[in-house]
Amino acid sequence: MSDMTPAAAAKAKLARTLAWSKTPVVSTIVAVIVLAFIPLLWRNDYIISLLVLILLFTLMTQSWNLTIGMCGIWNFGQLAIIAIGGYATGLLTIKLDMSPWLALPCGMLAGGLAAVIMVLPSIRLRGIYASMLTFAFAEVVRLLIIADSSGFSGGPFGITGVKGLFDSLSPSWNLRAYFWLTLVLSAAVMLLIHRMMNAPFGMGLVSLRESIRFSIGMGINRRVQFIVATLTSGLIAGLAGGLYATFYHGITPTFMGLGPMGLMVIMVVVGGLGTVRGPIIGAFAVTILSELLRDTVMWRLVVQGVLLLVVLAFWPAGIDGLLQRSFDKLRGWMNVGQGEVEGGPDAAVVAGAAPVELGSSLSAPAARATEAASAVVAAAEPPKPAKKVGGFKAWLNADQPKADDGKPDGSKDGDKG
Amino acid sequence: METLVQALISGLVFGAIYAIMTMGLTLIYGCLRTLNMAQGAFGMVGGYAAWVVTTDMGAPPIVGLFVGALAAAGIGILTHFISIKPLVGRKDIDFEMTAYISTLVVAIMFSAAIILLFGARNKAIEPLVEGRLHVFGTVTVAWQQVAVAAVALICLGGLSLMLSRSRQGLSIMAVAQQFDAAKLMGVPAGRVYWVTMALAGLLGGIAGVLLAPLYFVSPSAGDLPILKGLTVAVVAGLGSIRGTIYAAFIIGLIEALVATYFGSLWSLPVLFALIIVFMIVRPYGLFGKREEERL
Repeated sequence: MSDMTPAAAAKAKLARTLAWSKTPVVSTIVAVIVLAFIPLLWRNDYIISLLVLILLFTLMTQSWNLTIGMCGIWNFGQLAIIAIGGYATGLLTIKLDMSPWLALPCGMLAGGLAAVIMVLPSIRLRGIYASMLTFAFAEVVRLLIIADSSGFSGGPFGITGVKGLFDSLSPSWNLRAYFWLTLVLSAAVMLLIHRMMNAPFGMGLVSLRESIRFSIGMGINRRVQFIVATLTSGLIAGLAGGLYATFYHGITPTFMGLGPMGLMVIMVVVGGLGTVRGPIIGAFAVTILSELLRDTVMWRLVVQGVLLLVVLAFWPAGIDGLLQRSFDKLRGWMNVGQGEVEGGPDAAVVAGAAPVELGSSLSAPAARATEAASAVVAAAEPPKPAKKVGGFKAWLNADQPKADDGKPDGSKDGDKG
Repeated sequence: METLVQALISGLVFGAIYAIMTMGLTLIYGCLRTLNMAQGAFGMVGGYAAWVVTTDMGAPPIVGLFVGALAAAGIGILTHFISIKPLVGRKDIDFEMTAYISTLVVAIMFSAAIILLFGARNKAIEPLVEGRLHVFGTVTVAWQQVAVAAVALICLGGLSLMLSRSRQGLSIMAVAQQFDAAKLMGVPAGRVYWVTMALAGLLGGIAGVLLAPLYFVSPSAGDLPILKGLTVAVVAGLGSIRGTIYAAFIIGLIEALVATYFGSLWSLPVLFALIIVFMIVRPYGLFGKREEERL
């Protein structure tokens, strides 16, 4: 990298700084401490249980957003992963009489494993094909559970009698303990994802989402990236499922139906697909909206659907995109008259165009791919010469550009009709 | 032997229904390059319209078929205008995924609206024709199945005539094959879009009415058909009309054989497991473009 022009070097340095942008650890901890007082001041069990539900939804939407939003894998089987985590946790406490504190990590592992198994075959599929594969996986899981008449998984009725994490406490303290636990966990997950997405790793994910060809050309290893992201997403999903099962003392196969999936889709998209804050905002907004409409159970779905259609049509980046835009406007207004950003026009462009928040994946100008990928490449070490290895490692790297990759396909084209 | 023949017949009949239902998905993918997740809901609405006409008003089942098909076509146009039209041609969104999500949510909204209108209870609907036809030995075929196969074949024949002869059909094919060229030659793309959605609704509605006597009419009646439709479309290779017909019959036969020999509870899990294996081996479907595999 010695033959760089000064402008390019400055750009690379800036991109590197941006790539390792700071994660708001301190402010998050302060916010968690402040929020932790809610159940002590506002002694309303209904509100607290609603907040627990919202925080559980936050974990679920975060885990789903990590694959569908950040990596652009069309993963429509995430509810099955969450349910696998829940079932694993629940069955371990029931059948093996395990402590729920021990069963929860096991559920997490089950979720992570299931997610990797589900996504592995769909890595090389594109868009709708991947959605079909993950959909089919989720359906197989759901139908197998429903078809199971041996009594192991409870069949269509699900499992009941899962041990709670705080069964020894009184009901209202149990509720509060769950609130604090889920609050801390969802804050931790948010920080983790923020950290991940602002490291070169996450930049690589975003650039893969925007343009796979380009990213592979830039030397980003698609398989390693997707597997790590999926594993993380699966672990979070398993955790959310396990918490769900212990909080409600059971889980049923209806959890994996189309209805809950629609709800998750609405949350993630309304909040802002592919952003760190989006799933949180979406979980809060949609759950509160549906609680306001809870007397009219069926109108609720219609209203939520209309909300989603409106958001898609007018603000495809979701509520988070709106917030981001107004924030940018505010910053621009504050900067008026302060002269140019240091480092010349090139650096100013980078500073403007490669924001830490990489925007929603539904609004996808290709330019962002270039920014993200160059940020990754700038931040990464120069690649080592590849050693010749066989087996798993070779498979992981099989994606990397080959000599014949640019050849046009000799495939037949005219199958329509 | 007789069990096998029975299974094959039922597989072919289901294959015919899947073919007309998935044809809607295929046409829409061809024109709009997105999947219409509301296709199952079209069938569900068609089933309800047929139920209203035949059970509430006492019309003969064949009238129910026509009314169901027309109602579903109307719903198709409605879906186009509320969930697809606002997204078409915009540069700031990923159309394929956005439309996928918006049609999925529209499907959920339609079932919620149906529950508001008719309640969540299953409704039984009369078959087109009663009675059974004895073929040989113990093998019998319900006349309904014969009627279903006949209607499905008529639909497929009519569709192929329309696509190859009529002005509308030719403009659909033109848009599907070369969007820019079609537009330059004066094909009104905006109209082609909603005509395709109406056509898809029509086919979905017919499939829904044909399936209704077997599965009841219920607000969730669209869930299973859309899953099967997706499976067929993906096995076929998205956008391939010829592939859709082959894949529909293959999947109908597999399902019927598994249901006959292992019990109907296993037919779906086995089917989906086979699909997963199939997609690992051939990621672009039977007749899809090879390009899909690369990305």
